[in-house]
Amino acid sequence: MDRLKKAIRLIVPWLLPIFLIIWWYLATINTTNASIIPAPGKVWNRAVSMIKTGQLQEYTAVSTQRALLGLLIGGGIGLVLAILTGISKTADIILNTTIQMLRTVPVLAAISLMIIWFGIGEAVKVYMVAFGVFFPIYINTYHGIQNVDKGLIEMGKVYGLNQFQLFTNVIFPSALSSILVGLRLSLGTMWLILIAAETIATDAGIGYMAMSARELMQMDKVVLCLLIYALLGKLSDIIARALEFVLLRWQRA
Amino acid sequence: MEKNLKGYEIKIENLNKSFGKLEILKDINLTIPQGQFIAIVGHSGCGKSTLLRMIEGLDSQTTGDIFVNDKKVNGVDSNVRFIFQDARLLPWKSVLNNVRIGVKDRDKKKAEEALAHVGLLDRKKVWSGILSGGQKQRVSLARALSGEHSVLLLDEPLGALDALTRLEMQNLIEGLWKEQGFTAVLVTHDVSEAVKLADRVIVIDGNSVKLDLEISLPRPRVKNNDSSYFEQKILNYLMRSDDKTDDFTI
Repeated sequence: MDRLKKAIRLIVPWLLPIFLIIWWYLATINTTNASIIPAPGKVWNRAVSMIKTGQLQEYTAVSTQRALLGLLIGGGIGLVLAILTGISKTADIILNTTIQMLRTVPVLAAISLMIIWFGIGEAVKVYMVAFGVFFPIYINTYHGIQNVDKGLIEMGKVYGLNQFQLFTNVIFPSALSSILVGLRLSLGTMWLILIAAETIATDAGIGYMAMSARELMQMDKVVLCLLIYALLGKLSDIIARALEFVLLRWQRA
Repeated sequence: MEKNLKGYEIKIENLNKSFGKLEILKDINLTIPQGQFIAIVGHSGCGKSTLLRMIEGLDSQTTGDIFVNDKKVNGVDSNVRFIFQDARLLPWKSVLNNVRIGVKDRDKKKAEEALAHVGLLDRKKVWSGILSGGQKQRVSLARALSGEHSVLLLDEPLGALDALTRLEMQNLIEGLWKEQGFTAVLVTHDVSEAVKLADRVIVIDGNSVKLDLEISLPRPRVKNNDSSYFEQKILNYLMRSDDKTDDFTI
């Protein structure tokens, strides 16, 4: 009985996507404008042929590399700055207002500025991603640190923990769940911004693939891009969840 | 009395504490000799916890001085331990690692000994978050008592526990105090707890010390007519002041 329940639980989330694909298939069987709504089979064939030539892997790899580099830079700076403003009152007063203000600037609005500053090379995409992922990580880390139980900090002081030990034993572990929420949010932002940046100026990557396909009216390729975004997004989420699963074991106890 | 007197003396001189215009404590003078077990009793909000926090250096007084071991209190001293009303364990650490925070050099053996003392050695590996309230407080007691320290400040540590656990814990605290000879200051609103554990009971009410009573009962103490006499005496003081503050009606 338990096994059956488990199996149902595994299957049910996939019902809707399967239903959608069937619907998609049925809707495109007898359509006169197949060039606007590509049939699933066409998309599949396109994927197979692009994998055979290695183009799909190359584009995915290029995009992933940009995304991760941007995440590392933006997320790293966000984490460090948030720890600084979270712990030090002085840093908080100096920096936090500015950062909170910058947060409201739409990253995409800064694209043109960034292109002028950094050109259309590799760097501008990485910087855009870094700029975008900075804020979710910063904000969540900051709040995580602000919300550390004051009672626990007091306890740490009574037991003679110095500033560093207080941070590693009390503040950071306490803020960690909030930091991971920030990471998950920033993973979403990361793909979003990267694709937008890649659409504007590149010669490789998934965003480039989507843009060039649109210009040539290769609708099957456009749909394939969308599917890849969905898969990459899902994959990022799985990784983030796995991190939470490992790092926050104590919360499930 | 065979005690290796390593407890510190605590001296409180002309201590005043007010929050804004509200005077919490006024002109408190108190000397707690080395190794004494003293209990501070009073209504909630009378400032007894604040007094304890000032001895630890967690709060600062408005005027006056507190000396621990002839040194003016200025911030937290790791020789002065504090047990909070709530256990304040770190939920992301195992029971054993929580206790290790209290041990000098984070020594594992000593932490295990302390856990064995409170009867929780078999739970050492579990996350501290899954323990029951009583078990958590026992772990926090183990953490507080595992290190070498000279003063133990207890801020109603047993208030939230069931009667049976509370009795066990009282015996545990008394036993460790006898064994280690530290100076202990217990803040409580439970008069019988105060009479059971303390050498001396202080009643704070209306922002000053109203009663300073030596409890001359032999240890280990049991509830009998003698202890009832002391309890009644303290209660009389607490209740008498109740009548006076009867000026707001419900």
